[in-house]
Amino acid sequence: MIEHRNRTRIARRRLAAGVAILAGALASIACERTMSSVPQPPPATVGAPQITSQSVTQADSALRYPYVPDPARTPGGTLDVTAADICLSGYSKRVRNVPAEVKRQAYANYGVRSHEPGEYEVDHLISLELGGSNSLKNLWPQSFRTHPWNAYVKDALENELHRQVCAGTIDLAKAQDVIAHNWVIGYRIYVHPNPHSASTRRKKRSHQRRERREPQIQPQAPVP
Amino acid sequence: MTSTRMSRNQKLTPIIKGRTIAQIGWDGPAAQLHFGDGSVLRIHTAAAPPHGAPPATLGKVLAVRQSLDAIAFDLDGASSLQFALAEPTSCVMLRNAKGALEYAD
Repeated sequence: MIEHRNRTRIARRRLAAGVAILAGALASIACERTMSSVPQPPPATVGAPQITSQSVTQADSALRYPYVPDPARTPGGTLDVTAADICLSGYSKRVRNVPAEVKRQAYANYGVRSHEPGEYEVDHLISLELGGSNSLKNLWPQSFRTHPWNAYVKDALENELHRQVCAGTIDLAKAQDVIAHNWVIGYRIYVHPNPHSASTRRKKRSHQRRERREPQIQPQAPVP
Repeated sequence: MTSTRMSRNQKLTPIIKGRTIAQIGWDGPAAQLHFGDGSVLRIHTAAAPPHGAPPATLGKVLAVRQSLDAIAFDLDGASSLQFALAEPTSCVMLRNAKGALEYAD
């Protein structure tokens, strides 16, 4: 009886291993078609999340607005700054705030006629802390409410890329390219294979507190 | 997107107020305002000045005003220096004499 149980257990383990190998092989075939145009993962470092072929999927590459910006309208734009500039404490405070008229235009470019407080932010696709500019080419209305990819999650990628640029593990141009190309793929590669719900919940609460204090810009321009 | 209303640039004004524009150079359509303290303000303008244009007014900066399509420097002696911007944003950058970034838009 015991021998029969052991044999069954071994057979189950072998079956599970076989399924895992097959799934991995299929996933890598699928990803090879889409990975050619996506950023390559950085060299593995101690403590970094394990990058697997399942991390970046074809669905990530196919994501469209409102999860990622339209590349034709928002290809990204940068300032003429260096890693030394952006890594200096207080860098972002030296950059002018986006004028209200420009924010309205960013909403209008995406057909957002009106929105509730806390629904969107005008996001710098290439974040200020990565040398992104205030140009309309770099601005898009990003939702706080889409799931699982939203403005809270993108913030984590921005912080991680900034940290890596300043630590010298990735160069600034590469970091800008990663976030401009497809920030969801960038998140999976550089932060975590899946959006981190605990940290986003904390940020959401903090954002909601801030929203109560700050008035919202209401878009006025009509849809083009 | 055009605008003729020029409002005070609240971030740049306190940084360069009191600095003297000593020289203005051009690098294609980019104007370079060289201040007496060695700092340089680079502005991406809509177009380079025409050949043979009269030299621009120089002087001490009192305030900076900006709209979506232009930036103006109010100078002492009630004079003003104005540039048409290439874009509503992302056209102005100030570095100090050591090359450190002081202001960017």
